Amino acid sequence: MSSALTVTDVQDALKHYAFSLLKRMSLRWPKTEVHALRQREQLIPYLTGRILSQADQQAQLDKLDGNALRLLKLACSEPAYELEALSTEARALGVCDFDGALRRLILRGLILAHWQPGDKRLDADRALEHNSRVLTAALGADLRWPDVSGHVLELEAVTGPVNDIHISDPCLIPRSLRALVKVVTRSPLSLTQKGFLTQASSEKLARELNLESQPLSVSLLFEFCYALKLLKPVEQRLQADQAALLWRRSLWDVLPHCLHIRLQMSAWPDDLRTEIEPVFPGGRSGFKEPGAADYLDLRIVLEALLRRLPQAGVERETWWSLESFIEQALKLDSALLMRVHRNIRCTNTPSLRGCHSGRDRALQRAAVAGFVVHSLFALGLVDWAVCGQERCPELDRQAYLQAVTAREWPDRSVVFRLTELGGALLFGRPLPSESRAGGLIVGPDFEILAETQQLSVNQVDFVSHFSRAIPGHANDPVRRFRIDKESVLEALSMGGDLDFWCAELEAWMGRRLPNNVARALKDWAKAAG
Amino acid sequence: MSRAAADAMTRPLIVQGDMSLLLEVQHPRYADARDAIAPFAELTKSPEYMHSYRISPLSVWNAASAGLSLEAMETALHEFSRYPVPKNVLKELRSLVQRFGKIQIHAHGDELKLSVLDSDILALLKSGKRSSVFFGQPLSDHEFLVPGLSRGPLKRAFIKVGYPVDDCAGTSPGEPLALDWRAQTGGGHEFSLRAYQQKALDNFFAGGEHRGATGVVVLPCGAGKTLVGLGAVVRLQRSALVLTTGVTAVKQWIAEALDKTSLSADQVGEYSANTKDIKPVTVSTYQMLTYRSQKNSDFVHFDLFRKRDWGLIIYDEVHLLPAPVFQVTAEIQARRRLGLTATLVREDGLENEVFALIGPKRFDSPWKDMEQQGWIARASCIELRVPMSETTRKQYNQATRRQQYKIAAQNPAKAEWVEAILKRHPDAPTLIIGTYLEQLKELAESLDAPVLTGRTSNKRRAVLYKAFREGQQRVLVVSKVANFAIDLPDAAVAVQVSGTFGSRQEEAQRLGRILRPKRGDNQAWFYTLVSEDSVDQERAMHRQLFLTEQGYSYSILDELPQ
Repeated sequence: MSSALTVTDVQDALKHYAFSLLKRMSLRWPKTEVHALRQREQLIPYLTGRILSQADQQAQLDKLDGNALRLLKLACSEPAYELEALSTEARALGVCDFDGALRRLILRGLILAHWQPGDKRLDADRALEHNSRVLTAALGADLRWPDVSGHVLELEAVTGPVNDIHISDPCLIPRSLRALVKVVTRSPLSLTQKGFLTQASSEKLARELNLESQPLSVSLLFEFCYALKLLKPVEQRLQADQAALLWRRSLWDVLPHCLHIRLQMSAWPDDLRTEIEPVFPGGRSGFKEPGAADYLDLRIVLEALLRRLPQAGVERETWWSLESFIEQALKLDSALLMRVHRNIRCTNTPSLRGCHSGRDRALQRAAVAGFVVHSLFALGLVDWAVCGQERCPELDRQAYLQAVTAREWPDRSVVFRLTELGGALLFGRPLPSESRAGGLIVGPDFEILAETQQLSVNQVDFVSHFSRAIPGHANDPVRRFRIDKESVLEALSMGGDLDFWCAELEAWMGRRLPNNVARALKDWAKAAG
Repeated sequence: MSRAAADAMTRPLIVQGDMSLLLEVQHPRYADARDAIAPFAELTKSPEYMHSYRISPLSVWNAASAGLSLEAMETALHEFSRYPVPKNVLKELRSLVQRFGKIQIHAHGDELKLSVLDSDILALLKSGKRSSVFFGQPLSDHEFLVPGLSRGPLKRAFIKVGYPVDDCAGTSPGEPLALDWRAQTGGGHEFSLRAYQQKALDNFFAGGEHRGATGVVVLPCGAGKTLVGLGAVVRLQRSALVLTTGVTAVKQWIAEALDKTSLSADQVGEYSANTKDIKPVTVSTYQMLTYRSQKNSDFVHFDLFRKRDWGLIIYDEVHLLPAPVFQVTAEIQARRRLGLTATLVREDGLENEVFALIGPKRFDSPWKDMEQQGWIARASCIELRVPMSETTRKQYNQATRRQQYKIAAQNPAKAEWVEAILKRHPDAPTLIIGTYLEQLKELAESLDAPVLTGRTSNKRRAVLYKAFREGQQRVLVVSKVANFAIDLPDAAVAVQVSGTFGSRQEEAQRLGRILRPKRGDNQAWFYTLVSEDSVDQERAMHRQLFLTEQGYSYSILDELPQ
């Protein structure tokens, strides 16, 4: 895999996704706005296309219609970029999808803008970074999140002892996605006539993906797979989509997209939801039917709140009380919990509509907690922990929120902290530099040890591209991988480049690969032709 | 890097949620951390840069049995761990430690008293199919009478359901035997035990009257396990029965006993197919003990265990202890027992049996540490890729998978490479090791060297070993017999021309042939000749993994280094 190829794949993927959204979106546009639609329909592929070509930026931007330009400027303007305002604007236009896709695009530019010189990934995306600067200049605004210091909320920082720390694994979703795609590529999964996974398929997946020890659900993975066009159902079989070939070649670049899709899942068009609806083991009984604005509001409010975590105090080690986060959510939007309320079901509470009892309130809180401790945790944005011994009985309930089960809560206070990735995505903080050697060992026994707290997300995930993860606990500080013939051949068949892998590994290790490992890799590559 | 991250880097240990420990070898605090965790964690592999340990029920019970407290184990983890120790690990550790000592057996006249100090465990064991049968007449709510002969079977059955027995019933003293070390060996060299051998013996006897003098000492090949065994006899001043893996090893034990201790020839006996001397120190083989004329007959030599009042029974290469010997060992739990091995890993997974019936591990030391201290030779492992001739390749391509391995292993081109290696080490005593007799005979002929196989008589072997040891014979071509306990102290080069199916145990034994300390640079060479692009190459991978996991660097080359 060369750097140039990587750039192409990422851009293609982004464009692919944008096209997909726009295409679906267009179906719901009023006839009276056909003219505007045509232009808007072109907007995102147009932008991404321009970013690829590195030319004629200003001219292309000038061609945007007034609404699109206004929206774009609103998204990028200083100092008061309001997500709510943006979404309201977007909704007024009936294009919440547009909002999502646009934000993803901008956010990616933001991350790149904050990367340090020398960052290895920078090389791969230099073109994108360059073009995001051009875009910034064209819009006359800085492409970064607004200063919200005037809206600082007082979250309770926890200074006492924190027990049972659950450290997030930012590579979990892309790694699991890759594993899922591999499983399906080897052998398509059977579906029932109604489009659900068969029992045997579900069991096979759970076994092969080792889901029991992961804070993940098959449903969550399928959401990503569909959004990224990795899989499609064909005549009662779920198989890898041909359109996924490019993705599979550089799947380790999928991470940022996973994050945004998850954060923006609320913005998915209805017909996409309908399409993916059946392929869940046992159905999506925990979901409220799609299309509810409340569902989207929950996301937006919580994301907005997260972005308002006190700037000054957001250190890697600072723990925040989840309870105080929920309280702040209520202050920000007093109707929040009602919205949550209407989007959850509880196995022992069939209908919660209009209820205001303490029990229902507890369920609502559990759902918000679930968002932080499951969704954001699975995305690698937060770590969470339990603190002290005092009981929090209101969390000890079972609820569902967007395919994530929030249950078996510990009977102690839950606290969370932002990860470096969370800091980068929510505040535009720089991701850790990848140029420093250390934290990675390739042993002569063909085992790779990756110390997750010393390595970046991409480094750890890069390793899993051509090796096999050795099952361990999700919170382990070291992830272990084994290089074997099969894993290497598989990665090579997806377009990998052996010399590139070896060079990267040696750079990160700060020493040469063990002779026997380097030789075996060459032997296997030779065998693969 | 934040201060917390920098602080974390000052510690070399990483504790994983699955009870495994990773220890950074090049860290300045490596040695301290290793010494702190080794008593309660099993070293599973020691490749370059990072050693892996595992906290297992057996490793924890071994530690608890040696008197190590839970607090000491927790402190070791907290002190050296780079990241917070996972709570589940601490919880599991506590649970395991708490299990040990809850069940004890003590002497009670001619019988035993079984004490189960926890009522939940008592209820569990009494309801278990395997464990309930051992509860005899109650002496109190939690104490029961047990026949003396049930001591071994009881320990075996309880550990199988997850509960170790703390055996405090003591051992019988055994027949006295006066002996001491010689100040000078028979060859006139000064002699004393090395520090680690002394330490191994200290650990073995550390449990005192009731718990001491039963257990296993783990030392790499070439590190002097025989001397540790003899050291135990010297300390005890009691008669001993030594069980080994073969006649060659029997001779070696006897030679060492006569060379290093004050024992005379009439005090040391060989109990084998040829000779059946039972002396204060008697050396026999597992094969001898497990001999029976027919499949359903009795083991006719089992009564060797009872023919004398042995003060100590030594099990050499305890990882190879055959199942019937476990059976008879279960019946002689009143004897002191010492297991010696280079690895506690058994291919049959009977580690639990070793713990229950021989005893807990008392001493272990990584190979690489011994090497760094110069107690064993520094070994370089080199795999050489040998191309096949066109004819051989054609033959190979047309053969079945099974035949392919044989063809590749016997690749005639390997002969030239053997000669080149011999030229590279012109003065080094060299072993050519292989599996296929035909290949070995051809090599022996072309090199004008003697070949030693399973059919070679003991007398002939002794002559060849002597010539090899004294430098009159520089090269020996050997078959599988090289895998076990032959004493070739001056072999500095081993060339592996073919092997079985990548057995790790075989690799350990073959490497062991060259690990005894060398004069000068203390360097040994271990070559493996592998046919290029063949199944031979795939099989070599298993062997390669074993060596790298032991910490040896392994180079794959297409030509001999200059």
